[in-house]
Amino acid sequence: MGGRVGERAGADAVSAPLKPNVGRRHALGLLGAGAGLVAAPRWAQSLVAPQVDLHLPGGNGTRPTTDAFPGKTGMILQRSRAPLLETPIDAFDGQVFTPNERFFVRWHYADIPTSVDVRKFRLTVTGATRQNLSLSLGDLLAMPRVELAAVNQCSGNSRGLFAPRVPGAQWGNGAIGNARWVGVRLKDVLDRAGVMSGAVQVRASGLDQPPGDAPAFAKSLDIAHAMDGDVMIAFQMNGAQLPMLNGFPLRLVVPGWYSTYWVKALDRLEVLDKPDTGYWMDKAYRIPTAPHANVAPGAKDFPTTPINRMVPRAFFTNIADGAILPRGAPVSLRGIAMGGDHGVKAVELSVNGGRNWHAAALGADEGRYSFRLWSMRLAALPPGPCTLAVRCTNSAGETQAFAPTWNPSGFMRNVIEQISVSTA
Amino acid sequence: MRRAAFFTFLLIVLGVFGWRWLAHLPPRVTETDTSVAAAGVTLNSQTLTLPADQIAYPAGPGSDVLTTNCTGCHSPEMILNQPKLAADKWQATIDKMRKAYHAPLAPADDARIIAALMALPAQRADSAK
Repeated sequence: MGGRVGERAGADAVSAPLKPNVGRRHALGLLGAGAGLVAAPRWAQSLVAPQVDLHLPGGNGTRPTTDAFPGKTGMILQRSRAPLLETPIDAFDGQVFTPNERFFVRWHYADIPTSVDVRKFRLTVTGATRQNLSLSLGDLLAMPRVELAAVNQCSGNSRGLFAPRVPGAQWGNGAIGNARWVGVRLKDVLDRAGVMSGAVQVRASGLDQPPGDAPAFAKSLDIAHAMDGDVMIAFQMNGAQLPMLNGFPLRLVVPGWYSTYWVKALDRLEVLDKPDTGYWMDKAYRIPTAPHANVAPGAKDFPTTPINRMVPRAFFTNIADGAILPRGAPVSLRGIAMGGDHGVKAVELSVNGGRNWHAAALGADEGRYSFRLWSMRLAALPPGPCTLAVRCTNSAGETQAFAPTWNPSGFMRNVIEQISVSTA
Repeated sequence: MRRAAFFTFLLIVLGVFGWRWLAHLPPRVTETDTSVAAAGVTLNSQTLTLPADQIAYPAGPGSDVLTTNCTGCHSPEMILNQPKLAADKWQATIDKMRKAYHAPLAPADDARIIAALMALPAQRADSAK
C-alpha cells in the first residue's frame, strides 16, 4: 500500500497543483459533509451563524462563528470580551498569507484601544538609554524599512486539544496566521536612543489597559535578541495598515517566537538594566524546561523558563477529520506548514500510521519564518477507513512526533496532525 | 578673485555630491487631519466599536453570582467554553484571579462561585465526558 502511494506521490508531487484544484465551494462542502462544520440546515445558513465543532477531547468544543467584530469575517468566537477570535482551518486553504480579515485575535484585558489618532500617537523609548525618544508615526515611516514574512502563533494555540484538558482559552488549531510585515528594525529604533552598556532587556507594552490593580501586559526580550536585526516594529500587515484588533498602529514582530512577545498597539519600549520580574515574564507564559516542554499530567514544582521559540507544525487545510472521499478516485491533499524558528525543509505524509512517509510538494519559499504551502496527490486511498498523518521537518532537522506534549498551561502543542477519512 | 574661485569650487562640490546627499535624505512625511504618510505607506486614524457580549450565562440559580463576580473583567464565554474541571481546579482559577489579577472577589463567596460554576451545563456530571 505504502509503496503504491509513494510511487504515485513521487510521480505527481512535482506537478501537484498548489492552488486549490477543486472549487472553494466543493472544498467547503467536503468539510461540511465530513465534520458537520455547518450545523444549521441549508435554508437557515443565512440567518444563523454557522457553528464550528473544534472536536476537543471530552467535548464542549462547539463554537459560533461571528462577523460582529469590525474588520473581521467568519471568525470562531472564543470570547467576546476581551476578544478571542479564532481562524477556521479552511481559511488557510491554498494561500500562504492569512488575510487580515481572517487573522486570529487575542487580547488579555477588555480595555483595548478602540481609537487611534495617527497624528497624536507616540512610541516612547526610555530607561537605560543615552536619550529618551518620543517617536511619531511620521518619524517611523521616515526610517529605513524592512519586510518579513512571519508566522504569528499564540503560545496556547491548540490548548483545547490537550488531554487531559487544561484551563485557559480553549483554542482549536486556529490561533495562528502568517503575514507579510513591513516596518522598521527594533535595532534601528534602539540605536537611535542609544542603549547603555549595562542594559540587559527591552520591555515592550501597548495601549491596552489592565482592570483595577491587575499587572499591565508587558513582555521583555534580551538585548541581544532585540538587537538581532530581525525583530521589527511593524506598521503594515499584508500590504495594509494593521487592523485595530491586530495591534494598529504598531506591533512588535518577533519572528520565530510565539506571539505573546508580539506586543500589539506598541507604544512603549523600556530598556532595562535588570531582568524583567513582572508578572507576564516571571509568572505567566512559562514552560517546563524539560525537552518539548513536556511533563507528566499532575506534575508540580518542575523548573520553568519563559516560553520562547516556536517548533515545526503542519496541518491539512482542505480535508477535515471524518471526511468521506470518493472511492478509487485521486485525492488532492493540501495544507500549510511552518518550521518554527527555522525554515521548512520537508513536509511528509503517511497513510499507514507513520510506517512510511512520502514527501509532499512545497509551495514558494517566502522565508524561514513563513508558512509554506504543501500539496500531494494520491492516486487513490486504500479501501476502508484510513488515517492520514502529516509532519514537517525544519532546516535544523527538528521534526514532529506522534506523542503530544503536555504541560499544565497548554503551551507549545506540535503533535503530528492526523485525520481519519474513509471512502464511499 | 579668491571669492569667485571659492564659489566655483562650492558649485562643483554641490554638483557632484548634492544629488547623492539628496538621495539619502529621509522621505518626506505628509499629514492630513486623519493620516500620516511617507514613502508609499499611509496610516489612517481608526476608530472601532466593539460588539456587546455575544452570549450570556444560562438562566439558573448561579447566573447572578457569576455575573456579579466575573463579568467585570471578561465575557461569559471564557467560563462557558472551559472543559469539565474539578472543584479544586476552579478554586485554583479563582485564586489566580484574586492573586495575580487582583480581582475583588470576597473569599466568603468562593463556595457560592464554585457551586455556580459546577452547575453550568458543560460542567455537570451528566454532560458528555
